[in-house]
Amino acid sequence: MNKADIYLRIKTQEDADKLIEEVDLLVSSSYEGKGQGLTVTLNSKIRAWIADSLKNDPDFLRDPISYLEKLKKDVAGFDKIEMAISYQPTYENIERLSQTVKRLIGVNTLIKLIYDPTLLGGAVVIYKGNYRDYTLRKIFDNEFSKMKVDLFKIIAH
Amino acid sequence: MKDFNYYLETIGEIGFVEEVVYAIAYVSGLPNAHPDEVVIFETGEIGEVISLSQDNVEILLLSRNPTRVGTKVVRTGELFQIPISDEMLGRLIDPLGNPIDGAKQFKNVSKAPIDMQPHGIIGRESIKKPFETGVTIVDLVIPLGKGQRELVIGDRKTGKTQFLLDCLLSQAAKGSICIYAVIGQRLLDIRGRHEYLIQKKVMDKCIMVASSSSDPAGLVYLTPYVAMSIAEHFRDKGMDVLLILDDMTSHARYYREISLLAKRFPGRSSYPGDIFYIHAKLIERAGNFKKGSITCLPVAESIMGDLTGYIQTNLMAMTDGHIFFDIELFNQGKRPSIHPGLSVTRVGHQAQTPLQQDLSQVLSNFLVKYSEMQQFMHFGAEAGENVKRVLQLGEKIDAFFNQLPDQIIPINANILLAAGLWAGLWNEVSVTDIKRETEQVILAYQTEEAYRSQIDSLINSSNIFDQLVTNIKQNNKIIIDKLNRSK
Repeated sequence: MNKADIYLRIKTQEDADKLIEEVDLLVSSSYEGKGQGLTVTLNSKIRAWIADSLKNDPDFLRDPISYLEKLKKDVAGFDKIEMAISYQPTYENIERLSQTVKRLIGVNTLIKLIYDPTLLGGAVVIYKGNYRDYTLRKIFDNEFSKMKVDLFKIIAH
Repeated sequence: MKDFNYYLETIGEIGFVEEVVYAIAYVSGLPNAHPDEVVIFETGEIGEVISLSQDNVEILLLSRNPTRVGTKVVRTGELFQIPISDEMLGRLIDPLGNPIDGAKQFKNVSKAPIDMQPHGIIGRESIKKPFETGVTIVDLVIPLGKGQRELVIGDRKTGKTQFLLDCLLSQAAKGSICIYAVIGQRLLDIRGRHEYLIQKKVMDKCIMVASSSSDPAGLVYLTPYVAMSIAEHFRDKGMDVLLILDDMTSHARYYREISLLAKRFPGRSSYPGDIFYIHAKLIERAGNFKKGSITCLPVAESIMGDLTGYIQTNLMAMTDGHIFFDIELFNQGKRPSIHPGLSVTRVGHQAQTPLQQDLSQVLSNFLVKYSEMQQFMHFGAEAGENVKRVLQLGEKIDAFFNQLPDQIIPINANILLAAGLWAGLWNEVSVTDIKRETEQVILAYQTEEAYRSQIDSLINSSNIFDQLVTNIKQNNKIIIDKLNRSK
C-alpha cells in the first residue's frame, strides 16, 4: 500500500479531519521516547489500516516526518463537494457516493454531507463555489409560486 | 436589489466567509466574482469585492453588524450602485442612499453606479461663470468659477467648515444644488450641520451624504463617490451643483486602513500606491460641462500649517487652486482666516468681469505691499508718509475682509465698498467704525431695490477699478447717504 491507497479510502471531510489528527499525533510523537515514540504511536494509537499503509511505504520509512507533512498538506488541499440531502446516509450510501465522485472528478475529492430534512428529496450540491439545487423543495416552491394565486382563490371560496 | 436567495438561484454561485479582518472578509468560492461587484451575505448585509486571489475573494464589508466566519455569500453580477432620486433634496442620507434623518423612504429612485469614468474632454467647457461664495476676501482676491475644483486647506478649527457652510448658503440662495459629503466625522457634528442647514432654510436645496467615524471603514470610503454620483445626477439635468467633500484627508486615512488590512504594500506615510489615482479619478469627475456644472470643494486638513503633507500636495496637484486657512491669522482674530498670499485660484479669474479682474489685481498687489510694509515696521523703522498711508489702508482692508459667520455679502456690494475704501471715504473713520458702516451699506444694497439697481448700473458702467473709484469720488453720496453718521 502507498499514499494513493490512503487517498482512496479518505471519503468524507470527517475522514480527512481524522487523518490529519493522526498525522499530527505521529509528527509530535516522533520527538518522544528517545526516537521510539513514532513506532509506539504507529503501533498503538493509529488506525490499523493507516499504520499498515505507512509501514509498507518505503518513502515513509526513509523520511517519516517529510512524508507525513506532505501527506497532511495534500489531504488539506483536497477538493470538497458539499451535498445537502434530506435523509441520514448509511455507510453504503457514503461509500457509493464517494466512489462515484472519485471516479467522475478525481481521487483527491472529498464529500461533505449535510442532513437537511426540509429538502424533502434530491440534493443541493456545492462544488468549487458553484451552487445547484436539485431538491424537491425547490420544485414544489416553483410550482407553488406559479399556482399560489389560483390556490388562494380556491381557499377564499 | 433582490435578496440572497434570488441571486443564489439565478447566478448559482456561493462562497463562505473564511476570515474576517476588521473591514475585510476573505471568502472562499464565488469562482466568477469580479472586482467592484456587490455581494450579499445570507444575513442580508452587503459588501463589495475589492480584489481576487487564487484561493479567496477579498470583500470590503459595508455592514454595521459583525460578519461571522462561515456565513454564506452570493455575488450579484452588479457593480455597486446607489439609489438616486430628486426626493433626496432636503434629506440626510448614508452612503448606501438610505435616509438617516428619520423621515420616509424614497419612492421614485433610479440606480447609478458610484465608480464612473470621469467625463471626456468633448463634454467639457472652460470655466466661464463666476461662483459667488459670499465671502469678501474670496470673491475679490481668490475668485472661483462654476465648475472649478478648489481645495480648502487648513489646520483644525480654523474656520474651514464655516466657510464651506457660507458658500453653501450663498449658492443655495442662488438656486444651485448643494451636496455636502461629511466623511467619517462625529455624529454630533453631522447632526449639528444638518440642523444648521434646516435652521437657515436652505435644506430644500441641499443633500447631506454623511458617514460617521463609527460607521464601517468601507462605508466611509464610499461617501465621496456616492456624493459625486448624486452630483452627476443633477448635473445631467443641466443644473449647477456645489459639491463639498469634507474631508479628503480623513478619506485617505480610511482608505489607508482598508489597504493595509488587505495587505497592500504601503507607500509613503503608509498610504497605498494608488491613493493619488483614486482621489484624482474622483475629483476629475467635477468640472464645467456643456450641460450643468459640478463645483467641487474638497477639504484637506493640514497639521501645524504645513502645506507639504503627502495627501495635501496630492490634492493641490489635482485641483484648480486652494484656499489656505492660516492658524496664525486665526489666532490674530481674522475671520475668515484665509491667507491671500498662500491661496491660489487658477481658473477663477477667467470667469470675472474686466472690472473684477482689475480690482482683484489691485487688491492682490496692495496686500503684497501691505505685508512687506508690516514686516518692514517690525524692524522699528520710522515710517514715512507713504508707508503710513499703506498701513492705514491695510488695516481698513483687514477690517473690510473680516466677516461674521453666516454673513453673505453680494459681490457688487463688495466691489462698491472696496472702491469706497480706495476713494478715501473711510480715511477719517476708525477701524472699529468701518465694519459698522460697511454693514449699513450692505444692508441697504440687500434691502433697497432701487439702491441695488443704482449700484449695479454704476458697477456695470465701469470697466476698470480706477474708473469706478473716480466715479465714487465724484459722487460719494452714493455711499455716504447710507451711513448713519452724526452730522
